[in-house]
Amino acid sequence: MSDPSDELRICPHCGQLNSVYTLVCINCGQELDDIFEIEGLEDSPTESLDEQSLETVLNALDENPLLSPEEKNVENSGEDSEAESKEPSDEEEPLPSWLNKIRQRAKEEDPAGDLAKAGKAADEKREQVDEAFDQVLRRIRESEQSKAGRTRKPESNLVDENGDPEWLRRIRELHPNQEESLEDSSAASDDEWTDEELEELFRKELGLPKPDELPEEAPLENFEILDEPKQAEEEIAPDDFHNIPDEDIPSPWTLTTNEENETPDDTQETASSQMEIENGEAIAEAEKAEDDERLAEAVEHHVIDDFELDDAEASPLADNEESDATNLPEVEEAERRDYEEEQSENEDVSQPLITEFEKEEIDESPQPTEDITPDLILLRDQRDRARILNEIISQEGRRSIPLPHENKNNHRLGSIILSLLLILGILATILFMPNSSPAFPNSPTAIAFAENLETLSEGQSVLLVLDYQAGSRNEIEPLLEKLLESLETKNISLRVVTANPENLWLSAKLFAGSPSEIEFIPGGILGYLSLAVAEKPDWVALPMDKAIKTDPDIFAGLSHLILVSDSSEFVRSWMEQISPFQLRLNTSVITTSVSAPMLSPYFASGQIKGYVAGLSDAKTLGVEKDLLVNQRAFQVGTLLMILVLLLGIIMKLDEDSRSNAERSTE
Amino acid sequence: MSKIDLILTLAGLLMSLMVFSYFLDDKLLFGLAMVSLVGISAGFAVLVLVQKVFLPMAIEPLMDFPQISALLALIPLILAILLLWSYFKKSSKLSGIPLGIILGMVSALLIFGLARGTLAPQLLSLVDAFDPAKMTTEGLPNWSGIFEAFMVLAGVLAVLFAFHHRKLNKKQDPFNPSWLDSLSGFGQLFIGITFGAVFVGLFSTSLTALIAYLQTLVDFVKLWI
Repeated sequence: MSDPSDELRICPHCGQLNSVYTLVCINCGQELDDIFEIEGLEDSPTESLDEQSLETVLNALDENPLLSPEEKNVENSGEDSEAESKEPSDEEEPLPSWLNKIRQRAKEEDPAGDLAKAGKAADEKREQVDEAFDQVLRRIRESEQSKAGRTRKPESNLVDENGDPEWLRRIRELHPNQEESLEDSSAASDDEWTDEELEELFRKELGLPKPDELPEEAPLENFEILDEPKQAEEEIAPDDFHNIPDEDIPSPWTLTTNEENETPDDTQETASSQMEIENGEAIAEAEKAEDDERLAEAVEHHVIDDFELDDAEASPLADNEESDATNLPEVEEAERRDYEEEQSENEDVSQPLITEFEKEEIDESPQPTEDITPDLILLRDQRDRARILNEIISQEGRRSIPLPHENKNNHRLGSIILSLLLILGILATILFMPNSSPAFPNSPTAIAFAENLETLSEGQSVLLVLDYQAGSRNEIEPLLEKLLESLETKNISLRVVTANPENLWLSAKLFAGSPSEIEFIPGGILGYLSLAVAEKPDWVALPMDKAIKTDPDIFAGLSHLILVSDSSEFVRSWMEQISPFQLRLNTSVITTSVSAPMLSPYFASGQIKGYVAGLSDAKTLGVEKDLLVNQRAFQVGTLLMILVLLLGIIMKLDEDSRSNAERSTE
Repeated sequence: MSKIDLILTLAGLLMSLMVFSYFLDDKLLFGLAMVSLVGISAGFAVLVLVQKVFLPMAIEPLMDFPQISALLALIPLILAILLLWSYFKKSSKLSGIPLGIILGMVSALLIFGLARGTLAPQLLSLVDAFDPAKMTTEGLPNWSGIFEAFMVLAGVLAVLFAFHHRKLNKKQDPFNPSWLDSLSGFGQLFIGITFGAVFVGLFSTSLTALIAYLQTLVDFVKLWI
């Protein structure tokens, strides 16, 4: 609503009030030509007012008592009270009767003006108390503003559209109710705290009833308040809230009551002592009020700090303590100790407010990042990844898996020692021990081989298939040589074939004086198969016939088949591929000790009539000891190898037990 | 001892020393011995194959062209040329023809021979072990024959189950072994005995060869002493 004075203007000629939009005065018809006055530009007074009217206005201003300086009035009231009382009385309204009575009595009882001075001193003390109180309030506001500014600072780069960090959103999801209170507090902290808000907050935290809920029997200006200052202080209205006791307020009622109890002689002394007492009490009360404000602030911050990650570790009370310790004078040290004790009690009381879950939330929250550049802030998983990457980089170039040839020198030295030991043992046996006949027992397979050989009669044909290497000739050829002697003795027709080119020259010496010749069968086992399966056509000669100079049908007229091989695989292939097509043949085998175990199933199934394997079966065929290797050397070599094997087993078990112990300790 | 035998013995001694130099961390002499062995064996095999195979089976039949034997000789010759062609052009599909024929034929023969020559006779032998005639002797039980028959049966089943259980063992709980695990362990015992016997045979053969060659060297040295 606009002020009416703004819409009206006074006619400079007749003083008539006119509308601001009228061009001519409605009374005198004077033109109001300043309608086109530009806002902000003032016309010169000489253009609107003449000299006479100007003098009249200046005189009126000089004579106006409201525009006189206040100090002048104060001085006049102290020194020349009568003149002061008379001058305004001429121009102002008459004073009330009760005021005149009071002034009259004051003149009578205190002609020197001591009481007035005491009142002035009380006013000064009140101003000091007010100033201290304002200072306390100013600190509280500043701390609240700083806290509010800190809470609004983003803690990390992960903020949503509202500017809230991620950790705060998580906490809000977990504490929706507390989040509302936080929003309220933060919203309140956005603006400057007013006295009403601070009082309301203080009352809320202390659980005091609202002023509207105060009982009527506790009026503000009741005399009983003086007897119970604390209760009155708690029940005081928010608008009239202060920390100054009511007896310190220089109200006319208190002055009157004091004046009634004191004598005129003791007035000055009482006033001075009262001033001192009031001064001390005022400071104490101010400090108490300040402590209460701190308590309220502490309670408030405890609730807020549950959501503030920066203040999770550092209590806000400590900040207040430090700031207060620096600001308070030394005289207040005792008061500060009391405050600390009270604060510790307060902490003990408010500690259960923080639950364990909230502690975990606080612990998981990011650390304060005020001094860290936001670009350098790492989340926990990013930090873990960086740590793992760091470990990987630090382990780069280090060997985590032991190489098999790590102790190559030691193993090589051991191998050399064992080999030399074996060779020297065998050489010593050969040189110094006489050769002896083998003492091995006769094996069933060798006995079956000998029995099968005994069934051969004169005129029968035997096919001898050679397939052995030069390395096993010393184990096979003594047996083969004894077999050839037996077959030659029985006048058995012998045909010798081989698919191994090596046997052409390896076995040639054995058949040097024999009428039989070693024939080469191309194609290995497939060549034997082709000869065992295929029937020779009458109309054409097969390529295989060209390869075999004699009769290509090598199986024709045979009664026995003797395989001489150091390979169990060759024997097995023969049993699988050739024997099914030549079931009528009695198959025997001369082989080495290596192949003997693999031929046992074929002997058990009757596919092989018998076999002799190495030197162990040489005795069954009656092989002379001169044709065999030194049996003593064989026994020594076997013994040495058994020792080596046992030592290897023991060392392996010891190494395994150590490794298991290390694993168990790890 | 003839001069040839003397030269061969000295060559054998030299080659043996070159092989033994491997224990002294020597690579050159050991490598030379190995290369010499492989080269001599391969060269001799080539000579034998050319003399015993290519000439009589592939070249000589062509002299009778256009007889049937000559035409038949063209088939392996063409297959041999195709197989040799893969050496010059590895991406040629024509070289797969002889390889396909050989591999297919060998695979069929292996499967057939395994079933006919090994599996069927072994199973029949197992069944024959429980022949009442073998399990009794003059009307009395032949306990040794009975024990042997059941041990053979148990060994066969345990070994077969050990190989089968080995694949499924990874899926089972290692901390709760069942009776199947025990049976698998029984089969592994038979396998272990078999491999032990093979190792003994291998060692015996190697030791025999070592003793024989050392005996030869000793005899050679004794001739000169």
